[in-house]
Amino acid sequence: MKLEGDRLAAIDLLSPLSGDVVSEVSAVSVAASSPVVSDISAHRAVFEDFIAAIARGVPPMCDGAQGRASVAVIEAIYRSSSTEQPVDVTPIE
Amino acid sequence: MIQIGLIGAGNISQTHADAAAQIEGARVVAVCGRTREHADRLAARAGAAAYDDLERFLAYRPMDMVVIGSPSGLHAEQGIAAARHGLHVLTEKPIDTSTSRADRLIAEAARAGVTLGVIFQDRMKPDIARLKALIDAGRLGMPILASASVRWHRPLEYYKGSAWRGTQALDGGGALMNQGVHTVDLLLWLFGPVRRVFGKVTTRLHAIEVGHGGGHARVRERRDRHDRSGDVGVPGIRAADRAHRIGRDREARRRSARGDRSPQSAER
Repeated sequence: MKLEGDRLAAIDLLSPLSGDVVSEVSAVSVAASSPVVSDISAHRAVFEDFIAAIARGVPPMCDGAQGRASVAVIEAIYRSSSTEQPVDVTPIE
Repeated sequence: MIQIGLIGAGNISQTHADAAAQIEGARVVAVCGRTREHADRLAARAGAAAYDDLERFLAYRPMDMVVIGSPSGLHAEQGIAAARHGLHVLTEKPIDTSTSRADRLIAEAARAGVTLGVIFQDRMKPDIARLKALIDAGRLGMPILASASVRWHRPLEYYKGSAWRGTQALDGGGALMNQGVHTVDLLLWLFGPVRRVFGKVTTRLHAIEVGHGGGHARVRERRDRHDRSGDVGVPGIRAADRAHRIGRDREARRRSARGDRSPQSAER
């Protein structure tokens, strides 16, 4: 982190840290700029998380409710676009 | 050993097969694709059984979970069928194309007592994971504004190369639903829920369906002089570039009609 006085000026998120739990995932978040997933390590990490969640009986990294949330926002964006009005996002639960 | 079944045999299911192959203690045992030839090819590669019939595929045993890589508008229906067979369900994003379908899948997974997950692999990328940890630890204080843009371009061939992409029924929209959902997910995951949205969505470059409310609209690229990239919800960078160039070309033509030479008109 780069500080200027008491202000946070910049954070370097890209340089690897030692002990980084996800350091084996090599690609940064620009990988999906292509429709063909050339680096499968992030998918592998999702699978490993899901398999561990089954074994431990806990929710995975992104469960159904969280998966629903992004669709709810996009539905609201489309509705807002057609009505030209702000749209409340249906609350989860 | 976790036995995995793949639903879908297209582009992303190949990624699923390759990712599963790297996991010790997991293997792909069956593949189901509506195009038999694709299912056969992927199954052969994974050393798995091939199906083109979902019910027969879901009866395959031993199988513990399915990974769904089919068109978005089929995710809930197929996930519900899998849950009813007692299989855990991991689906590609988006969970489906509407919240009502998502709700049915969530309810069925809960009823069946199976684990339901959605693949948002960008959450696993090191830079994003580190940002999440910093935010959650309070090291950035209270975030007051988050801004994101998605500058991924999909050429016309991407839409023409499949029967479902860009259709209201199976894609639930276009770039916003299929690609933009990654970034919407990150914004929600990093910064929390959204109370209200204002959106402006349009289809500029390709003659694909767009998702407006209840109807279908088919809009071709507009070339009028008010073509502004700022109105595009999730533009490809080339869309923005192109809008800019169109404007610049017009400006250049106007200048050259006036016998005016400028750096802009010389550039192209």
